[in-house]
Amino acid sequence: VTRTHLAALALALGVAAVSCSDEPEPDFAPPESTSPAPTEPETTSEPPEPEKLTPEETVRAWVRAQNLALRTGNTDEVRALGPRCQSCDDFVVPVEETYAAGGSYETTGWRIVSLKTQQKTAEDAEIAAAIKFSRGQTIPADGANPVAFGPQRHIMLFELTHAAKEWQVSLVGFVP
Amino acid sequence: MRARVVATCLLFSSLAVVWPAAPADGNHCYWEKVQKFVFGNLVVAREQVCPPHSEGGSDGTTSPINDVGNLACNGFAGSLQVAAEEFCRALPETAPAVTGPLIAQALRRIPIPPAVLKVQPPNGRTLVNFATNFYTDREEFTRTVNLLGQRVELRITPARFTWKFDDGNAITTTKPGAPYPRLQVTHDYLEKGEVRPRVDTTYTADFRVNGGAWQPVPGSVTIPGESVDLEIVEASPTLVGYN
Repeated sequence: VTRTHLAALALALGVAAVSCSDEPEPDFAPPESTSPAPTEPETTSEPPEPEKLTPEETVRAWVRAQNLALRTGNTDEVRALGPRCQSCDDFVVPVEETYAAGGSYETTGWRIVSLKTQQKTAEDAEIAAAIKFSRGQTIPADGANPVAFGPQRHIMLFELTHAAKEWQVSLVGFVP
Repeated sequence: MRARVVATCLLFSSLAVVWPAAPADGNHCYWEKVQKFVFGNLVVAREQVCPPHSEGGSDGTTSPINDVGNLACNGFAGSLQVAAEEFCRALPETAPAVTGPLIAQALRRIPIPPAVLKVQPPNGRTLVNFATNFYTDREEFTRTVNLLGQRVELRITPARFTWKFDDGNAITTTKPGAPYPRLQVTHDYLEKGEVRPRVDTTYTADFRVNGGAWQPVPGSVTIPGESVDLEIVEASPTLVGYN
């Protein structure tokens, strides 16, 4: 899945809904629609410039991609959204290790409760987000006993940089 | 309390907008690596630390921690229009307890260097049908980790040593061997050749939380050792005459 696809998907889907429930709605990316796209009048032979994600949309896409990784073990999308983000590995590598060991997760994952741009320039941006981690259980490895975990709520900061004409997540961290 | 929280949020929400996450220079917030449990995994994550005198922090006359958590967190909570009580401090009833299985996971993530195998005779050569001596120098050690906001001490003990002689033979002992002449672990190679023996060390551990009673950590961790080159040669008796 390319960044262009992610951008189109994010714009098409809008942003995630906010709920006050303790059991968060997941920020999973829904499956792509198979219904035919509306016919566009052919006014030019040049393909339209794909819409780029804003910093806030990039963070939402990162959270959806992280949930996809939790659900399936596929970390390609989340890595594509932060190719130089070392702190992203804090969340991605454990998922990769768990699935590599034959384990899995049973959780609805991350949910953005609130999100706001704290600062933004042409080169970088900082987004604060109130995030809920849902309860669930982890099976650390094939045949291992499940490890149950409770819900968590965190204020998190996402730092982004503008590179290659798109916003990329460069740091994800907690504000304790 | 509620009024105090709201007042804090109002006070710091505007400051949080320009909150930097700069390297530590005594005046700015910075990022520190901490251990956290996220979805059942113990991860090393980044956590923002803001000194009392930092930009956007407190006025320097009070600790940056108040009844509902870090003031920076309160500021962001205000900016995000969420309750600081919910997001700025792990609630005791929702935080998972520090249990043996969680500690076992922490133990598996503690970097433990592989044991160094020492062989006598030295210099990477020994003889066929000779009691080659093996030993290592692993000892009990302690590590302290911050787990779910609590100080957890781990007393890690090398419990078993599995000696792999690379000729199809292996033995497991509870002793780490000893240098000559206190022979504890020896092996006779029966044929000449080149082998790469190693010793794998299995650790068990005890833990205690916040200085409490020691408890055993379930399970164990085995750290494979590093192989060493060893050439096995034959020795022929030779009569030596004296003039």
